[in-house]
Amino acid sequence: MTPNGIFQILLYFLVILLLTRPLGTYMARVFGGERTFLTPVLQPVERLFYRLFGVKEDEDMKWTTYAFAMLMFSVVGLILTYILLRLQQFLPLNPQHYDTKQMTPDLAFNTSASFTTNTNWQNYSPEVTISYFSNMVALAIHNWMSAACGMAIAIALVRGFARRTANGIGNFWVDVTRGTLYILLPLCLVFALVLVQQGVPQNFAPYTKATTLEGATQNIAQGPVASQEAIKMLGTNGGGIFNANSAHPYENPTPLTNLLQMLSLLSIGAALTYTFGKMVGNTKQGWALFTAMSVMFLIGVGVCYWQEQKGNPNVARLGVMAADTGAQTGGNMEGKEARFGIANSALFATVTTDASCGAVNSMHDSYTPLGGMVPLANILTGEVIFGGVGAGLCGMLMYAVLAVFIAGLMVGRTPEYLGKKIEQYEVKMAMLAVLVLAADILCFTALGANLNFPPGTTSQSFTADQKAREETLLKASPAAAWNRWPGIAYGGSDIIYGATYNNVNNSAAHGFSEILYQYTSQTGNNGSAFAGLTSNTPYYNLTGGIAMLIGRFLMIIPLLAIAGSLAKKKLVPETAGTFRTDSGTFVVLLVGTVVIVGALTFFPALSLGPIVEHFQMLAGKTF
Amino acid sequence: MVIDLIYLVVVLIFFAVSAAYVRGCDKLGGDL
Repeated sequence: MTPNGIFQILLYFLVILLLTRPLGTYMARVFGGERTFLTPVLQPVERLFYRLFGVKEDEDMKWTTYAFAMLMFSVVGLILTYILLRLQQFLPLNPQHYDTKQMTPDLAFNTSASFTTNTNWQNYSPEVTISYFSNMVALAIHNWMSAACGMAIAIALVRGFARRTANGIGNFWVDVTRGTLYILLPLCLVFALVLVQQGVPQNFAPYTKATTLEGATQNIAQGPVASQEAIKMLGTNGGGIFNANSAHPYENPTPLTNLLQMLSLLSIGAALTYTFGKMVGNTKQGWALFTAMSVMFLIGVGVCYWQEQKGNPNVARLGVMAADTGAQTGGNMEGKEARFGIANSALFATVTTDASCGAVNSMHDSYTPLGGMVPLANILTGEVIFGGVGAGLCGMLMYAVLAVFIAGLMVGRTPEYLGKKIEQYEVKMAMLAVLVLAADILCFTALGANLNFPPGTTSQSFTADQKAREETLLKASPAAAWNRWPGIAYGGSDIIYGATYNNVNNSAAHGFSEILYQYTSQTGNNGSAFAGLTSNTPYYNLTGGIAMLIGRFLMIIPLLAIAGSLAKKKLVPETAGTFRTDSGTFVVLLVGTVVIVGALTFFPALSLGPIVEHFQMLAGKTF
Repeated sequence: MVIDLIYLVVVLIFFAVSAAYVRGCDKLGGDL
């Protein structure tokens, strides 16, 4: 690790720390319905929305009503997105004339589930699949709405802790509207303009055809990038306009945009800890969560950076200079943008998986085994290290409930958190959320690593001229269509993969990591791709879509149930025996709970993937 | 078109299950 790299990482953390209090205070005012400096401008718009959609601003919803509103909002959004994607050839702003050849039904399902759930997993290359209209209307709208929805859920959960003997946990429609108008809109507007100033395109022009020095023709993709980029990062969405995502110079052109993108990723998640403290009337409680998150963040980025800077010993054994000499970075530069180097790539990878973002400025598949395990572990533990907008705080509060329960068991007292008794129901709901996450990831990974479709263990590819042979195979074995990649639509060959483990690019442990990362990222609603797994096939699109829906909704619902249950409870007076939850002991216990629950649940899977790969790498084996 | 409808039915089934899940979680609270 270089002093320069360490300095940049610490500087980044310092800015996040400095932003936490002012942004957290502002958000507490917004969700508390208090006046802010934007109220004179935005309140008329807010009221107009309520009038148009018949929302009663002061209606307080029971947790079940809140959950139903969220589900209705999401199902309508998902279906509309599906329809828009499938009809993109009939809609405007489609200068490249993309149609349903690329946007197949299974891909449209996966994509609409992905953007509705704030995952933004992209089983396609956007610049050769999606029209500008689809990008802006079908997808970017979800970038706003799913982020606002995440914040609303977090605030509802916080109200559960803050309120006493109350039936309701707030109004879903009001929370979503306020989150969008007062928080996301102004931040995104400023951020998008800064991005344009830094050179990010914002246009509706057809792709520019350029002739290279060698005489080849190159299509230079562009479009309404800046507007999508801003909400992609602030809303911890992650779905880019370009396949290379934030490694592409049009999405992330300068060191400044790289820093701003990373700051925008964690700023809202970090600030929500302060909002939490403000809303429960004790900011120390918020700082305790912030400290626990910070400890895990710094350990994660430290390990990732250390491993990537250390590089692959097998490369060094070949006589390649692997040390940082000042004239070259050394370490593992495979899959990394030379403009960002190792420190900023490791930091970005850690930040994007601490949050549920999924934007990448380097390819995680090319990381060293332990370096790549950091992003994987960040998602596996529920992305609670600052986390996605709202989702991170929700996840951390879930762990806090478990931590005080464990502390209660140790000292033989009924556990309490913020003056509320944590009883059987809250612990059951917290464990339900933990188990849903684990079962979703592990079951789908196990299937992906074992399922065998025809023609079996050997893939077959077919060019456009061999279409008749492909049809014959599909007629003889219709199940083969479940794992078929429609490559001809992209100017290549169709591939009928057969067994689902044939879709990986690497064998053995690394191949397993590719499948594990895929379902981890989708279930955790992260969306970053480890890459290396060709998953635009009906099987992976369907299972991936379902994994994302389960990971989002079946996890949120138990957390809302906790909010509803806690809101009803009375406050228990603090006594000398009360376990303090704003102390260093609690921070240690909370970090321990996150690590132990994550380690117990996923250690066997990690052992089969990155851990065994690390030892094999040390023994000189490559994949 | 038929495949589109199948995928939309999958979506509706998922959300119906989610609604039942909400009811289930709520009921569990009532039982305690």
